[in-house]
Amino acid sequence: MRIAVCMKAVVDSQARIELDGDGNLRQDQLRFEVNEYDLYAVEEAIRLAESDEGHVTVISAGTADAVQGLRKGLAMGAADAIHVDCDPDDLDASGVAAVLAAALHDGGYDLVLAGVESDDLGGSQVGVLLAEALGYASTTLVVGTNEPVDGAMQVRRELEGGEHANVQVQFPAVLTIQSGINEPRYPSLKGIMAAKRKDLAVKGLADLGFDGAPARRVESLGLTIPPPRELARMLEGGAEETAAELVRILREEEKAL
Amino acid sequence: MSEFEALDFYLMDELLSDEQRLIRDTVRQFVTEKCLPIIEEHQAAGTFPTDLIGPVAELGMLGANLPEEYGCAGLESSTYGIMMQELERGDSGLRSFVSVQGALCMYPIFEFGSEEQRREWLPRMASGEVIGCFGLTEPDAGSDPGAMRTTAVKDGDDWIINGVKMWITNGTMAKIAIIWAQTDDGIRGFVVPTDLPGFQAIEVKGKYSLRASDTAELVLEDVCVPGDALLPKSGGLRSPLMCLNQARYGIAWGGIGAAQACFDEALRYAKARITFGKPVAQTQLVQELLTEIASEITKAQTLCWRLGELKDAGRARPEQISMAKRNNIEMARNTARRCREILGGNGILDEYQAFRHMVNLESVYTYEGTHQIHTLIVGNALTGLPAFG
Repeated sequence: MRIAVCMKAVVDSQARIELDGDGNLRQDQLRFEVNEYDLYAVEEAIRLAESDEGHVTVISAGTADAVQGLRKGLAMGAADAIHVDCDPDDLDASGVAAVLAAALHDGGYDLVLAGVESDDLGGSQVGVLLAEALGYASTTLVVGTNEPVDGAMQVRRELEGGEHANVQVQFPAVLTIQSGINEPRYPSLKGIMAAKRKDLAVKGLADLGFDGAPARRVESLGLTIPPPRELARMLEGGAEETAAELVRILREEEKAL
Repeated sequence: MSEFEALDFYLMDELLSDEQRLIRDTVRQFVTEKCLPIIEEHQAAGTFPTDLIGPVAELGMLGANLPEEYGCAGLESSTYGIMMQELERGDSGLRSFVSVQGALCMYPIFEFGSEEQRREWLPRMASGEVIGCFGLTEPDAGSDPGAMRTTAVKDGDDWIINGVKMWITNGTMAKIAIIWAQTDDGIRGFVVPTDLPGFQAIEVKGKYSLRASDTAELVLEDVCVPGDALLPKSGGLRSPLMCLNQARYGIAWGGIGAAQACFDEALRYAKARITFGKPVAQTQLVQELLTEIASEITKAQTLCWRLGELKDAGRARPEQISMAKRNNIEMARNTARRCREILGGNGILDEYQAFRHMVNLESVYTYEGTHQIHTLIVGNALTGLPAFG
């Protein structure tokens, strides 16, 4: 089985986020890390590949910040990597899907896995659009996989409210992977050192047949930081009184109980 | 509490390669997820977290700087140091376990052992199947190991070993002990299985420090080992001192980790703790403490970075390693105390890390060459005049 896993460098959730006057992120403050959902996808791919001597390729479209994530994927056990060297700010979700599809379409992959969404922009679009661009089947929010049988696989999807749905998907297919499907392994020190010797191909947009970046059809107009919410409400009185009031608020106002 | 953030005032991160950064982040994540949630329980109970041995081995941290052909990760020295720094951010006991297994047990087998000994032991020690301990120090021979009384006497093809070893990390759980003993040929090293008749490991009780570490006294009474237990290339006091140099190098990095843990905690606390209507971090007294700590950590980082470069180039001299161990552990010890002060009364509680690091560092200050012995090693190098004894 040949599996590709899409990885994205996202803004480090611990990094300080500041906006400049035009509503753009101040880039000098940013640090990047690999999208956590993608690590679940890498882990799932490696487990599937381990059970049938398969081959896992990790791929990322982005600047040099994308390379660290690819190295982590290689260190976890992927066989090779593709870095599509481009500025992700030039691309909308369909543009990212188009460049990934161009890099993957000759690879003969049975499965392409991607995190269900990115930690930063959270669009949940690239996986689905990539399936469309490749002409593959698509299923989302996958929380369980099974051994493939006759060019198809049964997978479990997570539904709203926590129920699961079992679906059968024909290969080739794109699955978007939900968190919690597995526990991503730590890349071992040996794996990290071995990853240095694995093939990491760098492809520019021109190599993939693009004349410049595919035009954005969804444009970002800027970010805003929402005004701080109302201050905490302080409950006055003794323990019994405030506890009763807290229960009333949780039950009647917040509908949390 | 949000994720640990290491002080990096001089942008040392920019010096790291992609692999070094990934190893640093991996060990850091491992410590956050696997060590910190359980370490206070072990500190309180006085037990080593044996559940961590498997995961530590699986990550490849045992003997990580030894070659891949023996099942090890083959890290260069600076990367190995970064790993030790991150481990000691968790706990000095955990770092001590990894130091002893790698630098004091696997290293002598690699350096002084035969090819058969290497192949017999190193892969099983890298995988954590065989834990080792290092028997050099004795009740009456600490800073002066040449005064050791343990003897190994030839008996046909075998050796008969008698003696007592003290302060032996990993002692009660070890399957093998690297025992240093006086022979007719001077001091030699032996790989001694700990299940042999006459071998006894007695847990050292009543420790205030390194409580999450296995510390033992070893008693060897007519322990008979076959001839091939001798490490053939060991010879003289220089051999165990070479092992100690490996360990001290890692300890110098470890001190930075312990200090970073304390500093991060104290800085967060100082910014959140309101006294007299403002954060204590906004007072001149606390800012002076924070500035001094940050300066010392930064100096220690630059010292270790350069030492790592020298070691990778095969040029690190023992006195340079002594200077780094001496400086960085004193720095970490002072840092832990000052951070405890910043935490005020809360600093004595086990929900903060400073006190645990503070008491642990008392041991680290005194083991692997006391602070004072390292002073004399550097003094000897500067003057050419040995002032030991």
